[in-house]
This record gives sequence, C-alpha cells and structure tokens, in this order.
Amino acid sequence: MAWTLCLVPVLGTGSATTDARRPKYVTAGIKWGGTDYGFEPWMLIAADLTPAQVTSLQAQADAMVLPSTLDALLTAGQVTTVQTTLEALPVPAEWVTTALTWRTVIRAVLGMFRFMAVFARRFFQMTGTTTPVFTTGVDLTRTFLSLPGPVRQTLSDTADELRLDRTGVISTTTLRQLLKSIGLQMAQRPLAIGEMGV
Amino acid sequence: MPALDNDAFTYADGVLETVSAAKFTKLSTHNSLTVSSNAVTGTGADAMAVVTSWAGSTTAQYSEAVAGALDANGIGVMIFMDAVNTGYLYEIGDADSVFYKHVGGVITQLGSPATAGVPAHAYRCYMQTPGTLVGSDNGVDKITLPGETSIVSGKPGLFVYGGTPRLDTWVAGDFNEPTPPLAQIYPYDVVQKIG
Repeated sequence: MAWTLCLVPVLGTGSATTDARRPKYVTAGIKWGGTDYGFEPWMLIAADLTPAQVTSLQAQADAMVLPSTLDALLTAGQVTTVQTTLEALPVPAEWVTTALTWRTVIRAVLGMFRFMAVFARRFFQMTGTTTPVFTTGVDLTRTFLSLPGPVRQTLSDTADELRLDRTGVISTTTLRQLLKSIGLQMAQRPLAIGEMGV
Repeated sequence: MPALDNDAFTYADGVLETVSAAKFTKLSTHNSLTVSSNAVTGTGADAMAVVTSWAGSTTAQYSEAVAGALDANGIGVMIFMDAVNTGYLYEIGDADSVFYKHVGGVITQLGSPATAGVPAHAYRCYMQTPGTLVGSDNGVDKITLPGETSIVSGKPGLFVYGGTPRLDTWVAGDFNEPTPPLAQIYPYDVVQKIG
C-alpha cells in the first residue's frame, strides 16, 4: 500500500449523505483524503492504494494518477498530458513546464482546488446557489470584469479570507491569470492531502 | 474544553424545536428532528438542527453526543453550521463513521470511513487546529482530516438520519486550541518559482 495522488471525477449528486459527492474509483475500504474543485465535478485526492489498485486506476480514461516520485522533473510528454488534463477541467496549466517538479505542480494545483472549495462556500452564502463557476459561456479566458457581480465579489472575499494578495487583479485579469496567481501563493504554505504532506 | 451548552432532551415527545423552546433551529432544506423517550430521532433522511443561540467561539468549537441507537446511517454531531445548510458532519452508524461537508446543501464526503459506532459511546466532532477536522469515539480520535478549510466558522448542532437511530445528551463548547501565529500557518517554503 502506498499513498498515491490522483485526479478523479466526482460521483454523487451531493443531495444527501447517502449520495454524497465522493471520488470515482475509490471503493469501500480505501483510505483517502482530498479537496474538491469547488462545485465543479472534480477532486484531487490522495488514496492509500495497492499496486493493483494503482494499475487499475491508471487504466481509467477519466482519471489521472500522479507519480510517486514527486521531486522528479516532468518530461515533455508528461507536460503535455498534465496540460491537456487540467485545461479540460478547466484548471490553468500553461505554466507547467519541464523545468518544474511534480511537487511544485501539485502544490500549485492543490492550492487552486483549496481556493475553489472556500469560494464555493462563500458563493453559496452570497447567492444561495451552488452553480459551478465554469458553466455555459464561462471559461479561463473570461476577464474579471466580465464575470457576474457575485462571482467577482466572492473571488475577492475568498482571497481576503485566505489572506492572499489580490492587488495585481484588475478588470482585464483573466480567470486563468487569477487562478495561477492563487495557486502560486497557496503553494507557499504547508499543504497536506490525505495523510500526505506535499 | 468547557461545556457551554448542553441538552439531555428530557421533554415530552414531540418536535424538537417546539418542545425545547426553540433551542435548536432546523436547517432550512432538511428534515426535522423530534424528541422521543428523552432522545432525539429524525423524521426522514438527513435531519439536522443547529443550536439557535451560541455564546461560544465560532471558530474553535466541539459538538458531542451519545449514541442512543444506531443503524447504517445513524446519528451525527456537527460544527461550523449556519442556519441554512452549511457545516461539517461527523456521522456515526453501525456500519462505519464518516465525515461530510455540507456547503449550500451540496454534501461531500471527506476522507474514508472509520470503524462502526457503538451505542452509548460519546462521539465528538471538533476542529483541532485551523484546518484539521477530528472525530472521536469516547475520547479516542478515530478520524483526522488535515487540510479541510472550506468552512471556518459557525455554530454546533446535531443530526439524525431516519427514524430508527437515536441521539442523546448533546453537549458543546469551545475547543481551546491556541491560534498559531500567521507566520507558522503560512511560512514561505517554495523552492521553485513558476514562471
């Protein structure tokens, strides 16, 4: 058994404890911990898996298993895979290069997920809705000013709650730039997922 | 961890909110809790209530209750609740115990389940340090979830799923964990810079 980092879809509607949002492919008896990407249907988790379970998960088209050696540099092929996978969620990933280790990439991405989890709570408190941010017409190219008012306000409030620096955010800042900045800032903090420090 | 509020539910059978003089408020989108034989039961799936008036800390608190009877879903204790539909739930059943996060009615499981609950045991949910959620069984920590920062404040409360399980003798108070300095929470430890 070894703690393994995975990006997986979310199962469950979240409408009741009997149908809670939970990570796909993580069956009963597997220890895991993770962070959801706000109300988006994705989770970044660490799960305690057997080699056979890792192999099974690697075979799933909609899951991404991250290497166990976090301090290795990404290869060119891995950069392409990571960028393609993250951008589809969508999570900004154009900054991922072969000059970065897996640890650096994971810490920044985990930071974005953590931010979005807090954003989701604040967004519901403000609007009473649980609509994902990335709905019809909203993608990473959207500028801060073009976002709905409650989304803009909640992004600002979330940054303040997490004591993030948002002084560089202006009307033309895109969601891509915003989330990347958040990931970089969150990566400066101690981060744990499941029983792993990353 | 001094107790700041408690309830043994020694009322006539009926609706919890009414017979206990509005001590608890039902979460707006969930089922009611009722009192039966001096214990609390649910009236359907995911019945939740938050204490109406809370003078304790909203950021360092615990919620604890005794399991009267259990089934697969069971009873639960909650912290950091609002009166609408947000909070952390430590649910104890006769099959396992597990944490959930409720954010705006969207329920997300947190981590993997621990061992089954035991009737007459006391179950406690608390935020050990900012971001580390803990569930305990008779004083023994069973689940520890680091890195859970989605919900940071609120009031304690309780949960019962369905009509079979029963919850008794609720108590809540402050969890007196000193707040670490910001530099300890957010030290600069990045060794690589993203270009």
